Amino acid sequence: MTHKLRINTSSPDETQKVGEVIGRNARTGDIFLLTGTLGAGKTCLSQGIARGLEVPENLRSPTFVLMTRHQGRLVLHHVDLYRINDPWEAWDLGLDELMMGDGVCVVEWADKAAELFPSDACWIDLDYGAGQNCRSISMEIDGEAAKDGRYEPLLRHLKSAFVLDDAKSPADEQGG
Amino acid sequence: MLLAVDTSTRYAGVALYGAAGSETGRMIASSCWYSSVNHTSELMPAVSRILESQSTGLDEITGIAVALGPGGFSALRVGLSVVKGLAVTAGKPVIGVGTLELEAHPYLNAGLPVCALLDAGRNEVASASFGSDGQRIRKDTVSTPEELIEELTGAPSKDAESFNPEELKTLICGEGVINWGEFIRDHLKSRAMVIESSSASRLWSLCRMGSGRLAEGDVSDLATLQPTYLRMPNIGGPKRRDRAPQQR
Repeated sequence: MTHKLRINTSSPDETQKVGEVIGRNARTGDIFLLTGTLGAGKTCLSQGIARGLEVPENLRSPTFVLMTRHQGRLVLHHVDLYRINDPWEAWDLGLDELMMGDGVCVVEWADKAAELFPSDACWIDLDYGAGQNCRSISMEIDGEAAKDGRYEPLLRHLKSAFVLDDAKSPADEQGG
Repeated sequence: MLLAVDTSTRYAGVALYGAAGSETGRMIASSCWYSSVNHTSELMPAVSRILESQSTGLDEITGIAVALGPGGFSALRVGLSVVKGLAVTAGKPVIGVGTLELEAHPYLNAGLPVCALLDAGRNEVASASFGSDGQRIRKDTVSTPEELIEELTGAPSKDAESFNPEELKTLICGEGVINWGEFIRDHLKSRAMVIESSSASRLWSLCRMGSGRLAEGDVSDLATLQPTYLRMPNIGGPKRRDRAPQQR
């Protein structure tokens, strides 16, 4: 069963608040894979996740240093694959080990190295919405792979904290 | 005198082994530590300290032995990079030895089949199997512990007629015993002889095997020597290691 969920936000602030709920509910070993074009709000969402994880500093995309480590309630590994040309380069960063490690991973431009990620990760696509500052945030989790139900509390909290785009997030879609 | 460097896992170690003219060799100094932060910041100071402790330097080293893994991705890279750097600058040969060989080495002549383990993360285990004659049975493999149990118990059932309990015993060793020893004991009962591991023993094996191979001139090619990773990703297309340099 694939869990899908879509939330529409109308400001960067609101996008961050979605991230904050994600961060507050994140557990060791969680992997959030962010996709979406330039300006779609990946960094904004990451900043929210960091806040939810009680990371004291303000997050910036590690576009040039590729990854940074932040100590909050849990360790946050913030990765940005924008400059990656080849999935092997992402592998060279030691992503595999990072994802087996002690914290939470947030990977921007994850589609640049989709092959590297375990099937039980949480994919989050960001897209421009109808209005100027509107964004739509689509989450997708392979429920079969995430057997331990690790993202279920998060999904529950998101469902109770935000109005879902019902047309786009049928309660729980069957199949792929 | 051989310098040995093992950063396969968080249990890291450096050692100096054998004196000039000594045939059997001896452990001169060794240092093992649990790397809680990272090997990057700890390894070079550890190498410097052990050389200083014997009032010696790289110029008096005859070769450098290094553990190749499987093991931690970054840890192995740090170890091999440092060793290659030292070897190139000091003009010394390098001997790379697989970490599971190191784990198995002390037990290979005990008359039992040996299975050496390392924890592979993701609830999996890396292992290598050796026959009671000490010969390797298969290459390093990452599997679930259940698959490993199946392998360890599977072979005898094919030949139930010549059932000999003694032959069924396997010696289980390696750092992976810390996490998986109990699981294996529970499943294999008396058919497993589980040996508690120590990082000092692995370092000792690295010195012994490294100096043996150095004496035979069986050294590694620095240009192609690479760590053994636990898992390779499923990426289509070859690694572009030989990318042409950019035009200026």
